[in-house]
Amino acid sequence: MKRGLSLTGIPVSPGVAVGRAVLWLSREDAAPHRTLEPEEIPGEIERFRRATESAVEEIGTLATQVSERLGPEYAAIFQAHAMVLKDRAFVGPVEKRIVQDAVNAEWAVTAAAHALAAKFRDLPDEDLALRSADVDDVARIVLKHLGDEGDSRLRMEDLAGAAIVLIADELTPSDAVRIPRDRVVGFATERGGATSHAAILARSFGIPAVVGVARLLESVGDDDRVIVDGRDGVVWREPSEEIVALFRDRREEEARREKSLKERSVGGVATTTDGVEVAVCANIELASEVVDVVEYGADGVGLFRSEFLYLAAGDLAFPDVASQAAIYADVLRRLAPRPVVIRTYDLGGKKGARQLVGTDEPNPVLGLRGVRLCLARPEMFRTQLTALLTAAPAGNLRILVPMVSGVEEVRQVRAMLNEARAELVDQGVPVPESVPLGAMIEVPSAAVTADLIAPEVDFMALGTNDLVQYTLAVDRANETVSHLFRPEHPAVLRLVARVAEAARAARKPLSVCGEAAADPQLFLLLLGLGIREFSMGPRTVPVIKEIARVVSVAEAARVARAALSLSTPDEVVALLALELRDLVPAVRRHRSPAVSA
Amino acid sequence: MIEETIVLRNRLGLHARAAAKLVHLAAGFESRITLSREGDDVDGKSILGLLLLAAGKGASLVLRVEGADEGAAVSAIKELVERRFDESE
Repeated sequence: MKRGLSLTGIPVSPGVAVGRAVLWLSREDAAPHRTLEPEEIPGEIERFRRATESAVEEIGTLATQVSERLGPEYAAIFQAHAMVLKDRAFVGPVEKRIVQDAVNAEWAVTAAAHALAAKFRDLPDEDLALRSADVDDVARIVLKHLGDEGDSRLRMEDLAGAAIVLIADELTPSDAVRIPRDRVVGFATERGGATSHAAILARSFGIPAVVGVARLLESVGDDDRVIVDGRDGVVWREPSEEIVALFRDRREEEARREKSLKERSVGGVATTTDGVEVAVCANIELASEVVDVVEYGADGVGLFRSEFLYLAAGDLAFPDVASQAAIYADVLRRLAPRPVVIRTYDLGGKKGARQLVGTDEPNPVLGLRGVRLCLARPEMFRTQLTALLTAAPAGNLRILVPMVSGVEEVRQVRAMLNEARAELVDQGVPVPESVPLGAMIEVPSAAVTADLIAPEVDFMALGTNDLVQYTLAVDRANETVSHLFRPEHPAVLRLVARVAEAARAARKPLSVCGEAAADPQLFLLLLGLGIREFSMGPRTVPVIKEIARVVSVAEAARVARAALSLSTPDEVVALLALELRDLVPAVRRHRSPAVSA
Repeated sequence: MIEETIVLRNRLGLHARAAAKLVHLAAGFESRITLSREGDDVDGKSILGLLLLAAGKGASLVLRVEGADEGAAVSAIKELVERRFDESE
């Protein structure tokens, strides 16, 4: 009955999802959107007309009151508003949307008001025109008279049904983290980029996702049958049976391939053709992903992003020692003797913690985040360190500190860790002699002075996402510059080489745990630069292990040396493509969308 | 049909309040009323149309009126413009 159509966007998590659309509106100013049955349309027009009539009445009353109190001049603007509501140039487009798009009046009014505000914004002289505030007023009063359709904003936990595909304007990290994976099979958003947290979570949950889909919200309605193609970045609305069949076949083939890769991955540690062992570990956000770590044959957890514990809780209450320790211990126990690197809270920046920071920062990415925030909130940090130490006996724990910019921070953290340990010892709580403490190298200053940091830590972990962001001065969540986010940039390569050299000289382990580790071409490069430990989303572990088994470190080193002599990211990419052309087909097929910047 | 050129003399030109007064006046006439500026034609009874003309002080508009009461309409509108929309400045 409904016309089929397809929309394109950026693929951020592979796979195919077939399901029913559920609209997810989280923005304050988004009006509820409902798709109407044909027979509802005349009634909706009528409803809109009655709402404008009573809105006009209300404005009239208001105008009279203002006129009496302040004089007729002041009432004139209200008269203008009332006239807009009677103007065919406003009413016409609204009614057209209701009829042609079969949408509810609230949505039609909001959309028409946006379009109108845009026309006025284009006018040269503000004095002459209605300003967008006036347009908002007009829209708001109509919406008020349309009545409250009820709070259409759902909570993730309340989503009912199965095979749900979330359709949203955007998904914040706190939204994404609460997606019920037993009910939601994929999502698509109108905004967002490949390196946003929602995208990272989609990959880690293994649910197909496409972002940056223009006109998504106006094209897909609640309950529409949709297919999300996370490989090619296409969203299909009401696809034909032929298309559904095509995707079903593809899904089966992908499942078969994945199964055999997994079996080989679980089989054991990957060793290169020249006998070097490469550790391929998993990045996780939630304790529930421990299952995936084992299932996909990861050698351990290279990064447990602990802040999602906080974000998933949803409210301001910071989890206490006991609840944190329980979660950490559970993860450690289930994965023992595999190493588990838990990164202390990396909040602030974009990760919903305005209430923690206390103010609206103009530049959150450069502001109070990571270890800085933790050191500025010592009780919170102390609580986490205590919880980690309490849980440590359950398995093989390593503590990683984010956003380190110099040795001082490392020393401060170590001092706090020692204090926390001393206190636990006093209380008679069993704690290990020592727990390895590492620094995340993601701030350029830390990369440049890695030789100073290495002696003071037990290990280091390169956070390529943020390192690229800070080194190239590109906000990875900003779609207007996402094309400039290039992990293959000579500056990044040189920094990685420098850090690798510092690690080697100080004889400290170094891992890479950004999304770059999951990209086969970058993996080869990093291997060649001296990295022997990688951590990525669990689902990408099998492919990388496969690649590690068919390359030699000698070959990778040669490629890395050649790459370091080049001047632009494009040259590096071209070199990598050339070098890998003859390698396993898996490399080409599994190029991670995260880093195709 | 009557066609006349009118020039806006008030400080703010055809801004929201002035436009509202014009529309209010025009609505009282049966005739079709059109205003044009640099080739753009708008309905004189549509506030949005008038506002989107973005006609400031000194702008010259062509008024076209057609209908039974066209004479009265043209006079009334011309007068409103010449009275500077009864604005104080």
